[in-house]
Amino acid sequence: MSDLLEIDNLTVQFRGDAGWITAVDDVSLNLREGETLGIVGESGSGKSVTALSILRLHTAATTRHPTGRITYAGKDMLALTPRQLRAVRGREIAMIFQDPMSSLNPVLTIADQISETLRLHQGLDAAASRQRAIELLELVRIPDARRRVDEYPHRLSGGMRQRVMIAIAIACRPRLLIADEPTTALDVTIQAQILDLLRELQSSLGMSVILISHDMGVIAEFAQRVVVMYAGRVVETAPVKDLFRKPVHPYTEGLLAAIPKLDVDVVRLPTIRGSIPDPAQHIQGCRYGPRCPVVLSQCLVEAPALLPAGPARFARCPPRVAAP
Amino acid sequence: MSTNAAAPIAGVRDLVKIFSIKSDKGGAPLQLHAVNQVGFDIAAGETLGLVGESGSGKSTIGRLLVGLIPPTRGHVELFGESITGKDGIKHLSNVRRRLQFVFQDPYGSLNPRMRVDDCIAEPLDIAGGISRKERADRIIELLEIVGLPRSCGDRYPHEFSGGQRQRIGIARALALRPEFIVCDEPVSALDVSMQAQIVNLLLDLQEKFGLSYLFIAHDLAVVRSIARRVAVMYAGSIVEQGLRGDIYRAPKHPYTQALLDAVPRPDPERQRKPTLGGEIPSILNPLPGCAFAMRCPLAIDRCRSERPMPREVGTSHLVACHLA
Repeated sequence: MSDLLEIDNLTVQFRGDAGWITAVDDVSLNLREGETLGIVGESGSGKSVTALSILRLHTAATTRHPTGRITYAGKDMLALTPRQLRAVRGREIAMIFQDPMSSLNPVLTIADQISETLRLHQGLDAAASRQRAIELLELVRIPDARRRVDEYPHRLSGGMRQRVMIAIAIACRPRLLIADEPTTALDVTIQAQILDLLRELQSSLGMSVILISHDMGVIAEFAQRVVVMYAGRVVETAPVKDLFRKPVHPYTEGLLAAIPKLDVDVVRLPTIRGSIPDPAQHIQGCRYGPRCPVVLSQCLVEAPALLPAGPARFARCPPRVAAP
Repeated sequence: MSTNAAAPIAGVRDLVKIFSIKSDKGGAPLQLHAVNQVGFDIAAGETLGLVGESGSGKSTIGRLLVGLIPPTRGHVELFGESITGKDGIKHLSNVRRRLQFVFQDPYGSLNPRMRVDDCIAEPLDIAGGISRKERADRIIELLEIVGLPRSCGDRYPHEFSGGQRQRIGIARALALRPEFIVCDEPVSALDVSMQAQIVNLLLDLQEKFGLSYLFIAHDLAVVRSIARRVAVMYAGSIVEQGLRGDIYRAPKHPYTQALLDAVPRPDPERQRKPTLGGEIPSILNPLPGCAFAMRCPLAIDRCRSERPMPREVGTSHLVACHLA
């Protein structure tokens, strides 16, 4: 399979109180057609910033134009004109966000909001787009779609709102769906329903999906391949089973160990010492060095490169990769 | 302090809380049945975990238990004294110093204009009767107990990360040497690597000071890592409570089973059972019968007409289900 999306050496900087803050530093990743890629990391890891860069959704006033390359289906995304970009957004690449309440317009009905994309990209008229909106609500399993389509977002539960967001996202049958923490605001039983729905839609519509999450459980259940980010950098990428069976990077290892266990009694959870670094803080060498339990003196001097670490795997930890 | 294991440090019986809210359509106020006939005890030195999805009533119980809001009906006892009966107010003020509360949001629960040392010492200042020297010594002691450097005292809350802020919140809660602390989602705003640190800190403090906790959380795995006994809530009722091992290894209530099954595990090879359908019912007009009946795969006619009351199914294992 060929790559649908390729990100090469992406760096994104925001204006901070004292100069530019690097939120994403030299990130490279690729996504194959039909693949589900998980991007996992804690706050400040740069996972959302990376995803937002694909559609260039950062506020222009506070963001430096990203460096590096983002190639989607042969298009150089960082070079598109605003007009060309609008043709891609919502039609070829769609996005859903964590908080369905603030992503929906509270003063428009569900029908209006789904129709917006359909009328813009597919040129449907009012009646046809309304009919299509009802079909889409049925597709995302909203009961009583014919009545619900005329309601306002506040009348719906969190889970139903996220279903509406998904309906809007798939309205134009995108080739790529970017889901940024789509279930984080939802209760666990509703989260399971939404993940089921996304999985079904992915296979019936043949979409590629990028799923961004802080939750290793969600990633394990949903992704085929995983990119682990820490403090603005990719620290490890691997097929999902390999990653969970045998993490290579000490950060991945520490993160997996620190997750509270549901299926066994643990007397004390292993922890990662220290705190997540402030993005404005400069760290010499490996960004994880100051917290790493197996840190070597060389790690604190030289910034490590992302190196091959087995079949389809990469890790940014020369000591681990060189001496497996 | 009572060391008698038979005498619970806190307990509630037949607790009911109904909130009256204004109807958006006018007319009679709506009755929100937040807590519906709940009972449990917490022994000295023990942690009871209270889990449930949003709107299940778990936070309301926390607030009722420390007398922040009065119940509609039912009894609350603290340190052997009723705070809901005759002279309840007097008893509450007698025991108030022995209780504390740790909140979810370490950002919202600290005054941004107060230095950390003043935040921590505020309970001491309100209680009064200590010298400046004692106050300063106690601040240093408290910072040390929660694992923060002394130098933190003259900084402001915004200079700290979420995990450190939660440590400040805990130091403040410990200032008056309480015996019982209600922790309402204390780690749910934190990243995984920070969660484990705070959970371990709470465990250490419990051992050191003989504290009892009511630990309220939506995350079942976090609760397993800290609680000795667990109560599972659904739509205002406790559907099941028992020792941690019984609840997680052999859950009896169909809701507990579905909830445990819905949690994504960090294991890509796990096969999840079919997802529980439906959503949490409205607590505005609770139906007769079991609140879970309309989502329950096992429900029979009796479940829809008669409310199941908690029954003992094993050693201190209570289940509110006709079929258990």
